[in-house]
Amino acid sequence: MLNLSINRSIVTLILSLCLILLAACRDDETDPKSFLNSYRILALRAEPAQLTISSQSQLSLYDFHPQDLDGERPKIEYSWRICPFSLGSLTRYECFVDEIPLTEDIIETSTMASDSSSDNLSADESMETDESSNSSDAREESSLMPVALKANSSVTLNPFELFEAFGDDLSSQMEQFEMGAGMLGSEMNFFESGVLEIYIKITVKVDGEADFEAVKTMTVLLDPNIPVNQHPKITQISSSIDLENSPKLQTEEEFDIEIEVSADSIEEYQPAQSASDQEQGFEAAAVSETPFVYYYTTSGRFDSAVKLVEDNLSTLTLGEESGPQKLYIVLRDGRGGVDLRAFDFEIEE
Amino acid sequence: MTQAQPLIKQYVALKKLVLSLTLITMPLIAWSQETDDSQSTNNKEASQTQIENSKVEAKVTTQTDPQVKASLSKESTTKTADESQTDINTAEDVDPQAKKNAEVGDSSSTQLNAKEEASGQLTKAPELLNFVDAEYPESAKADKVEAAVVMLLTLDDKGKVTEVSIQESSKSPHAFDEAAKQAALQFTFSPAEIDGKPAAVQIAFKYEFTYTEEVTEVEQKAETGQLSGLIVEKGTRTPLAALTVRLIDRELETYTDAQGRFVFEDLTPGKVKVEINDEAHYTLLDIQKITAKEENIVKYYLEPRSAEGDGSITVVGRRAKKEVAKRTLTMEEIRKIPGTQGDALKVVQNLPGVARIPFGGGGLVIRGSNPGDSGSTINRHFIPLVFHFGGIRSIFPSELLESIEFYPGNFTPEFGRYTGGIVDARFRRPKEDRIHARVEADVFDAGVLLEGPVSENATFALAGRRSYIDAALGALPEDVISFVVAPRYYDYQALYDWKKGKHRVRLYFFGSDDKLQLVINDPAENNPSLQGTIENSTTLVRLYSAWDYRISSKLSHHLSIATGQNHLEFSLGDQLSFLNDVNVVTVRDELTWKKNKQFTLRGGFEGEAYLGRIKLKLPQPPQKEGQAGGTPLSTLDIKQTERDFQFYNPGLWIEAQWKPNPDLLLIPGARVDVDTYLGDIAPDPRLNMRYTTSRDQEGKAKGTFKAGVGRYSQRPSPDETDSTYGNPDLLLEHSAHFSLGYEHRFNQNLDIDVIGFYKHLYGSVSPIDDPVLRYDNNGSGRIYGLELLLRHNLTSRFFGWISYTLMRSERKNTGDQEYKLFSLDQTHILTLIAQYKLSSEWEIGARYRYTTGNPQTPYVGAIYDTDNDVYVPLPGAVNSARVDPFQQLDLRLDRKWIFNNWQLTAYLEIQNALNRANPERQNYNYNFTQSQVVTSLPIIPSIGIRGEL
Repeated sequence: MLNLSINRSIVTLILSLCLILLAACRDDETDPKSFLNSYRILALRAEPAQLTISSQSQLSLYDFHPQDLDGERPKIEYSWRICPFSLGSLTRYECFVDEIPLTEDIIETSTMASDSSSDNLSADESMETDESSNSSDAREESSLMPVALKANSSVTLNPFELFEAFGDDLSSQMEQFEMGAGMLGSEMNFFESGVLEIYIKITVKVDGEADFEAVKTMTVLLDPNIPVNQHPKITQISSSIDLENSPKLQTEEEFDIEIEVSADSIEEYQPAQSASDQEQGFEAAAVSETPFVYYYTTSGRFDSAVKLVEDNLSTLTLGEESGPQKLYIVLRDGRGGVDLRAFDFEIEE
Repeated sequence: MTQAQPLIKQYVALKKLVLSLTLITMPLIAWSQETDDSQSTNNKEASQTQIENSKVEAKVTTQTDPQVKASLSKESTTKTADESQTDINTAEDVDPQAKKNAEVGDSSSTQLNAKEEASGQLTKAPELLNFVDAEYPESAKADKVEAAVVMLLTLDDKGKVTEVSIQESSKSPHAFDEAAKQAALQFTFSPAEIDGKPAAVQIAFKYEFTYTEEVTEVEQKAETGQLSGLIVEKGTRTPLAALTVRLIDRELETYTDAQGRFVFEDLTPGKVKVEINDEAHYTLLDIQKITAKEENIVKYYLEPRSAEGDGSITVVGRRAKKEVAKRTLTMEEIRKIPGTQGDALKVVQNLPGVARIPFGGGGLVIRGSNPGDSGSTINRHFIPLVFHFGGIRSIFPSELLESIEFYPGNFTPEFGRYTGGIVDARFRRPKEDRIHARVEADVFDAGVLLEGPVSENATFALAGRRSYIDAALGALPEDVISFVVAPRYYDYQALYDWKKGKHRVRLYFFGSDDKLQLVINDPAENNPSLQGTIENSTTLVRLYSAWDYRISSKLSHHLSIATGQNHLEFSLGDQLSFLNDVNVVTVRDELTWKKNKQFTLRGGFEGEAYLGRIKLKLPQPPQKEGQAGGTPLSTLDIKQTERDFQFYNPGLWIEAQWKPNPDLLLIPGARVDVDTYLGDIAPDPRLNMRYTTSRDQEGKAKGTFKAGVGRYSQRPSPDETDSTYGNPDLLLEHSAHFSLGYEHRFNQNLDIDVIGFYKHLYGSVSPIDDPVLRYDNNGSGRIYGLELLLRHNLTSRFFGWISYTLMRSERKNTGDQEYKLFSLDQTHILTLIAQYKLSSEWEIGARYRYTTGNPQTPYVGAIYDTDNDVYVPLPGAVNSARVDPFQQLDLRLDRKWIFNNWQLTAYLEIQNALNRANPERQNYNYNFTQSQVVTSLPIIPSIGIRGEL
């Protein structure tokens, strides 16, 4: 029971949030996240976005290295692992059991772009690929022709293999849950909610650089009646310059950019209830996704690089360095759904 | 003796009676008589507890009979009392708590005490209403012998002389002693008052028999005039009593009465030179023209040499009883300490043992304890907050406070439920002489205060304050943040204080309200979930009522009840919300029994009841002590809970104050708190002691050893015992306090206080890896250090202090771990404060602070969360690094204009005058590979004004 007049810890949390907010508003002398000057994972896209009992899913990794600008990408190794349970970010995604390595797919033309995504998102023909037709729609509606973006690594998740590998652990945790302890202590009452969350971990080794660690939460739908999350879709990209044809721009030039998102791709969903939610009788009301638009560039700065979909106009002021540059737009729905576009442009001296 | 007759200057022995106003207040003669058996002891002790001049001096006046000059000396000869002040205070119907704190305290508490002594202060001196001439012994008259007799007059609470004893005989064969005694028995005085209540007192009275030739000639009275007047203090209009008014060219003088009035009669026409000379005020010279058969009426405004203000706060450093040297800060001084904006509560942050809180934090880090482990009280009733917006301003004006008592540790059993320290603020009794008004404004807010009497026995005060920061912050560019309601606060206070005889009733109604509402137009790049509208509302309302009843000379009773509501609401868009509405009732009921001078027993009941509702939608608090923060909100699971609650926690306490000999004071005690929710009971024994090692010639303590040991308990933070966010099976946390100190008074103005302390924390709540239990009680901590306070008390021009703390505070989560630094550990904390009065108008002040930088946990990497595009940091060794030290110099310049009926004060304050970029913490970039120092506020000049009527 929260039994004091004022919860000091929560007040601390509130103050911390305010400090974060104030820090976010300060002039920052460090590089902003939207400025690409080092290796970066741009998106990790699963197709389909959520794993079901009856289907497998392919995860494709889209990344950036500064040498991509020169077309001389260094040797990069990807190491994929899977963990069936995790305590989340508070414990830095520690895995309670031994993680299982995943074997990379043979990458040929895994591309997530409006022109060819449907053919390359999945290596398994049996996967549900409603996404492909939607991606085609997006291509037709787009006023710009983004460059094709190839996935640089991918793996395929097979739920049967997963449960086979972690069956004992799952059984053990189910027993704990039945004893009232929750799912490995997580608040999420997965089995009651019909969903399970697993974590995909990736270690990227770039020659001469520190390892890059990333994690993706993958939702496994245990209940076949729960609809699979659909990726959000960028339907149109507008800009005050002609981004479509690899434009040549001037240093410190400014231009606006804005996207349109398919309203159909922003879904309502039923959030998984936590054990305490159910304990207290909270009813999980359906909520709508809140996608964010993330802008990235190799030159200059955005006035605001993270935007809500409903007001995502951003202005980019280019930097002073000349040469080939890249611009990426990533749309994330917060539930694993993602769409991405990339553009090339050049800054003239 | 003959009466003066018109046109006749009669003889008579001119009697100079010197009322040595060493009024030895004796509250209850009966009690005194009862303790006759212990008089020898008392007297012995009294010789060690002589009353300070300033304390007992009372400026008593009498209407001067032109024929019989009754000279009331203002000289306050120190007089040995047969009743110590301790007795006075105890016998008086004062707040027992105040008394205890004032007299006993604990061996390691620094107290900011009352304007006057919180207990047993002579508030009204007896005034001689009826003087009776003594018969000049005929034999002495024949021999032309003069003599003087010093008597000790015992006055009852009606001012009647009930007993006269000869203290210094005339040693003459003539019957001077008896004549003086017989005359004195016929005197009548106005009743003396202690703490505003009529009380029995004793006064020393010197009666001088001076022989003069009897003049029988009859003169024709000339045509004469009269000069009368009123003398008040400039600016405050306070009547000045017992001032000497001289007509220097006529060799006449008289004294002002209690109302500040004086009169010269039978003045021959012509110019007279008036001189009013007083140590506390600038000398006034004036020339008046006396006209025959007319009354010349004047009104003089005397300008004070040093502004005393209207109140004082007494810093009684870690003392156990009144004979310990007092360190007094006037309210005027508190207002002028740079960097505090005149806020008395902020002054506490400059005392030993208190670490500097990072910018934006409003709590107190007392002796290495977490801010949440220390409590704040109003009249000993706990309140959840004392500052607006985490530290901008305290929620009540300093002008309404009688005292702030600060206990950094080893507090006595009347306080519980906290393992750190206690800050107890107390409202004062509103002024009763006349209506006072005060208006002030500075860069943050403006406030008004109105107070005065409402009847013979009752006084009132009304005060309010409202900020206008919202207007300033509204000017921020809206593309970053749009303020809907910028930070806005207000507070209000209504005080009613009634006392009569043995009863005193107080009613206080006060509250505060803070509100903030802003819109983040774009999500934060490194934490996209931070977007939407942020709303924060904090409200506190209290109705406090207290009844004090002096049942008998030995027994007193105190009952107080505080009821009210706390409201805290916070939301961030639809993502997060927090709502807590609580109705609170706290009760204190206490009895004080003073058996005799050597033994006092106190005890009481303290209860708290909460009835409320809470509704949360928040993530698990991401950072507890020993855990690194920085986890983006986007990656945290949001939990929610909503429930009503009610609970009741009783507590009992008892303590004895035992003086086995005049130099030793022992204060054993115990407290038992019951936590009905946790199902835990905490018996906490405590013991404090003081031993006086040396005394000065007047018997005042010069050197005193002091020590204390005790156990303290408190409940875990509410979220830690919550079934959704914590572990409901947790038990109370504990700490053991040990302190040993020595204080020494070098002279009247300079003293030093050194205390070594050790605090052991055990049963502390600590986070564990078990995701189900989340917390256990296996944490512990150790805090040890040394505090030093070297203080120069206020003189006519200067006051200041040096406060230094050497400290180390560590924690560990389980017994087998190594200790780690506490997140707010500061090895060195140095504060220098100096204030100098350049003239009656100008004053300057400076404060310099140095503190070791707070520990920090470095990050060694980060994991990229691809779903939320954020980086979750990987912490290195917890608190293994520190930010750079903090240094700041604050300056202040005050200018006062004193007008006849009011005064105006303006100040310029410069915070961080050297514009030093003081680091607060490291701020990391999006992937925790780069960092930059977040600095505290740059140089900030501010101004303020205050008008007092």
